[in-house]
Amino acid sequence: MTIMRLLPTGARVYDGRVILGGQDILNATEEQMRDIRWKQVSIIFQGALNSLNPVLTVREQIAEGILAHETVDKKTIDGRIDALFRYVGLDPARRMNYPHEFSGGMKQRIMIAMALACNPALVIADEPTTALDVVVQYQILDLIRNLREKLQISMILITHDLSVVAELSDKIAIMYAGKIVEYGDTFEIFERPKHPYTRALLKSIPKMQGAKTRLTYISGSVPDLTGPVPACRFYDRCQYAQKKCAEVEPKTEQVGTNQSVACHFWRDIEKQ
Amino acid sequence: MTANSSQDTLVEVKNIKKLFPVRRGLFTRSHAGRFVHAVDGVSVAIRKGEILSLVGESGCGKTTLARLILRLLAPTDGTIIFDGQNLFGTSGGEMRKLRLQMQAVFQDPYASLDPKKTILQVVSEPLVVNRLKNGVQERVRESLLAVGLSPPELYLSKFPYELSGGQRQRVAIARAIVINPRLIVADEPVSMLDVSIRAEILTLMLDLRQKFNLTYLFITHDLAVARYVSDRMAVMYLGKIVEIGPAEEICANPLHPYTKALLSALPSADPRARHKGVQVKGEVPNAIEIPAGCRFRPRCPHAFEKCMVEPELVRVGPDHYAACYLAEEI
Repeated sequence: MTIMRLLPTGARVYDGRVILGGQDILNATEEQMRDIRWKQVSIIFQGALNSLNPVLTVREQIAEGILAHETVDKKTIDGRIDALFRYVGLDPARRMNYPHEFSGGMKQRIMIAMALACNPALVIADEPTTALDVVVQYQILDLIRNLREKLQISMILITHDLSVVAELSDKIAIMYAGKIVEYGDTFEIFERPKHPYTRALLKSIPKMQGAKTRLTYISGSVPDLTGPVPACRFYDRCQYAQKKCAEVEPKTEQVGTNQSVACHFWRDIEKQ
Repeated sequence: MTANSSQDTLVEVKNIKKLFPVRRGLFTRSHAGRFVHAVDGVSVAIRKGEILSLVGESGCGKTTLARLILRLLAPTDGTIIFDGQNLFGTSGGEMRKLRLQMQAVFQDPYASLDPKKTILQVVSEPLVVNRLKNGVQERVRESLLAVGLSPPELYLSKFPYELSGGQRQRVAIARAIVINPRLIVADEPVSMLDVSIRAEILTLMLDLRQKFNLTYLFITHDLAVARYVSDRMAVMYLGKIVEIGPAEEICANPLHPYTKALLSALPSADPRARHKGVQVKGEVPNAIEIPAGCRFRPRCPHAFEKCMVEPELVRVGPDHYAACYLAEEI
């Protein structure tokens, strides 16, 4: 939301910068921002079922995004929507339908078509398959993968589902209570997780292959971010926590070429 | 299915059907013979002490079946026998006694707990409703302790909003076990929870089964969760069970094309195992116009003429049944 500059009123970015293609977009005016949104960055929202306007046809809704940026005639728009529909595997003849006439998976496809309408460089997909069933989820993930290869777009995929991450991403940033605790190449992170949180997270998901082992879990819950938090935010729930963790905030350390981790003791933990 | 003696069966579902009429307009009562076939002829036995999971995509009838077993819905056809007694033939006092033996845990712990009640009130409700007045506080305390909310005194006077999602689901489970039921119907109990909390609740549910000798009907759309918790697994598609058998066996050796599709569609939590699935075409058709013959036929890559006649569940392995003509060949 910060990247899109869509933070709710009252929320402010206190520090830091967001640089998109060389431009610091936190300093952009609202007018410039309107230009950036959808044209350079677009979003696929989580609840496809709720993020479409029920009283407009899907054509009108996709056209809205295009018209906000370009002055094009009706024919061009229809042509582009047809192409988008084909891209995402929908029948172009259905562009005059209303959202309720589509199934959940198809609505998600419409959301994707919408996000691609202005050829953005970056697409943010916020839990794009969370509301979908497995088979449809698979189809959508496959679609996203193909489109990304075909259109050469960058994507930020936001999800709590590690198997979706494993399926789709090149790099992973693991966040905990507002901070990135580990960042790196997908294979590295799945095979050699460094941060205690990542390690615990990976152990807590039931798997389809291999022997059934008892799942471990992280006891406690995420700290309340309205109050004071310990120096290392994972301190309360970390099985390796030591005194230092409560006092000194761990710095993000580079590990190898492709990985970084914010933990004082990752070396010791790895040895165990 | 048929091979069990009734002794080790807790619930026996016999050819149960539930049809919901589809009204044509907002103000008309006529349904013009159109029905949603939510559950369309299901027979299944839940054995004492087992965890049977019911998996399938949304709209396949999992929840409707669960509601029928809890007798929250009346069936259009068929019966359910709970420990030798017909659920739909009993009424009044007898039914109340049966109800004492079954409890439910629902999906959303943010919606299933009354926000205006304290945890004591929430958990004691099954006792109050069933007029079990003795030692209410004590039983609630024990129940909270059993689900790991300790010390219980800390929670008794709290309200649901003061608890995290995981704690709320624990409260919902405490409420379910407070009257010592024999069957717990858990409808997607972990789907609304975070990954790390999911494992916590699943582990708790497994521990409670040991401790209290519980039987679970566990409804989930997540096959990995089903594999982890259950002894047996039943796969539903459009109101029918298409495959049922030992969970491990079904995951390793699925025989119905739908089960295969479902399993291969699963994103694996291993980035090296990407991209391997076989894609199934389309989505689940609506349950109003059920395809003739085998319900999966329009989407099945192996469909042939014979599939125009609906296949029955047949034994394909030890304790393993599938409703497909090609189950053994594919």
